[in-house]
Amino acid sequence: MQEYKFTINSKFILKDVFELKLTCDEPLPSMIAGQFVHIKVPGDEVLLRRPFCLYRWDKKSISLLIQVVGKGTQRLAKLKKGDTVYGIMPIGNGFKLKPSHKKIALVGGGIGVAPLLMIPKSCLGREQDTVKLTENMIVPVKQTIKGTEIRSYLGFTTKAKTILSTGFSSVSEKVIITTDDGTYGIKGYPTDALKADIEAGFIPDVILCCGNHNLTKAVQKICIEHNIEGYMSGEERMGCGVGACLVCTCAVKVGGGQAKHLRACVDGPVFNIAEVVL
Amino acid sequence: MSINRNKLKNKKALVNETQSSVANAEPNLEVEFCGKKFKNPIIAASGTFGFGREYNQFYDVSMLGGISTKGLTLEPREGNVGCRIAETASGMLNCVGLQNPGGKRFIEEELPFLDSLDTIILANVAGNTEEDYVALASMLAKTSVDMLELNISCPNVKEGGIAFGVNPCSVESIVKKVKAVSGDKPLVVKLSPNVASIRDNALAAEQGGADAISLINTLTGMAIDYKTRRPILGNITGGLSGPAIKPVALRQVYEAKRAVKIPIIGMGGIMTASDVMEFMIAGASLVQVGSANIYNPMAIKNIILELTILLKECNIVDVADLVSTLRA
Ligand SMILES: Cc1cc2nc3c(=O)[nH]c(=O)nc-3n(C[C@H](O)[C@H](O)[C@H](O)COP(=O)(O)OP(=O)(O)OC[C@H]3O[C@@H](n4cnc5c(N)ncnc54)[C@H](O)[C@@H]3O)c2cc1C
Ligand SMILES: Cc1cc2nc3c(=O)[nH]c(=O)nc-3n(C[C@H](O)[C@H](O)[C@H](O)COP(=O)(O)O)c2cc1C
Ligand code: FES
Repeated sequence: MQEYKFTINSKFILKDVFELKLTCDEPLPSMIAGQFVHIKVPGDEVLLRRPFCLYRWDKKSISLLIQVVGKGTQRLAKLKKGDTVYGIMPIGNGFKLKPSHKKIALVGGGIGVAPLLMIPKSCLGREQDTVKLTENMIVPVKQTIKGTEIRSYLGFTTKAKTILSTGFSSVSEKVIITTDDGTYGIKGYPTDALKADIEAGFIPDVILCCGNHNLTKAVQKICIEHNIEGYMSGEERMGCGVGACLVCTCAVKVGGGQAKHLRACVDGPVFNIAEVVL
Repeated sequence: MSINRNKLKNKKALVNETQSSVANAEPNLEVEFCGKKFKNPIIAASGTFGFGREYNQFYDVSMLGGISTKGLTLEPREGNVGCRIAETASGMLNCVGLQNPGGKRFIEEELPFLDSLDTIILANVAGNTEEDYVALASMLAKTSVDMLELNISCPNVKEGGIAFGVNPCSVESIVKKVKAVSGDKPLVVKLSPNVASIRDNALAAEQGGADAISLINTLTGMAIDYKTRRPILGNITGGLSGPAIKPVALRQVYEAKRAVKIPIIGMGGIMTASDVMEFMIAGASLVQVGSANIYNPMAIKNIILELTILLKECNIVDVADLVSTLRA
């Protein structure tokens, strides 16, 4: 873990989300899906760093997909090509797959879909098409690797908020988009679509999810009811991001025992969903 | 009048002379405090630095004057549930609630690492009852920690901590009892800023036998989400820290210094070397840096490097010369 100095190589704005591609002169450590970078917001006004998962990584650059929500992300949205930004990484454990995980369900809500998009590559070596963020369509699957099957369930509030569907369709066998208001894809939540698939006989070996409290709770229920292994990344507020201040803790019943307060930054942010007290 | 002026002039000339002859020398950062030698006046503040391991990945933490450990209690504590941090203008609120491994596991699992460092270790002692404080302090007094820092000012645990720190009588009583079991470990008493009179509490600590006082702990505050009308913090209230509290901290260090003879460790919102100098001018012999670590893991290293440069710029040869030099 160390602080890197990045240069904004490109910026792409899509609705209230923007993508930053950050390059670094130093070689970057290898990172997997679910790990994050703790970004120093430029200027003196925002003091606490902001955590963002990577959604693309290579040896020379990382890409972040950032939703504008408050002061910090508004300031980051003002960054331009060529600007400098500092970030600490790699932080956290990230999403991992076991060899027994052949049927994989990815469940994401809103901006929570971004880190999931890296899973097929970082866990299974599936290469993404060079996807443009603007493309919003489901393309036919081109690859199936090592007998694995990935289904992606992506939920958004409304059509205008849907992102990355093309990216997911280039690395999953099936992509299901849901919107709360039914303006795009299926009306409802991604967990409704997952439940329907399970009832139709697609029993995932593992469910990986990222999103807000309601989503992770719904996924937890499914995992427990159907006895499916699951892992989640939540939205704990962070302080130091390095494991020292204990403000980011999550109650986790490790091995089914008594709940312990684990640090989401360095012990997580990915936890076994059945063990998390939500 | 004219004589006085001449005297003043001569004194100035003398100062200028000595200053120019040492202008290139490295200023002395070493401070002797309660019989312990600190490499420099900067200590990592309790609760923001864990037990030193995490920041040791970023720089050699042996370069610090000292490290104050996370607040320890006799038994392990899981701390508060729910959200523990809220960002505020120029600061932050926290309600960690003294999550710590307990005295026994601290000694077994964390102290060996701290021992391997070449820096002064302050064990931050907290508790729910006087008996707990006494039991933990006497347990720690038998270890290799250099000093004890009695935390009677944590605003985030209902049953205790702060309960002992508000009333001067209870401050004196608990300090006396802990001092009796501290053996040869200097006892620093960490005061709460959430009190009627910091003077009275500083005096009470001194009277109880404290070797030094440290202040300030966090100021009690809260944050509300107007949309949900809910408190942001799981504990509803929390402790405010960071640059927002610096003016309050400076004032309290200044007032405490005028009340007591024992030395003071000042803290609250220190972000830069000039902040360190301001606290020392107000009366602190040493300082602690807390939230700045959370904002930037390299914070203290940068402050120490910056302090040397700043002292040179101000022609100060010994950092200790700054203490209590506030001019009229
Ligand atoms: C491990 C992790 C990975 C994340 N990855 C991404 C990502 O890839 N893309 C993305 O857009 N967002 C991501 N987030 C959420 C992102 O960190 C917040 O949206 C961002 O911090 C909001 O900052 P702000 O100043 O704009 O909002 P404000 O509401 O002004 O921020 C106030 C405080 O609350 C915290 N905060 C607010 N919302 C969240 C939230 N949802 N989760 C955690 N802390 C929050 C902020 O960090 C800050 O300390 C991630 C969060 C975590 C914990
Ligand atoms: C996250 C956090 C945890 C803290 N935990 C403790 C603690 O366990 N014991 C203690 O005496 N002070 C604790 N403090 C208070 C700090 O040591 C310090 O007194 C206070 O934050 C003011 O300094 P600062 O503005 O530099 O942070 C904590 C502060 C923070 C921000
Ligand atoms: S954010 Fe400080 S311990 Fe996790």
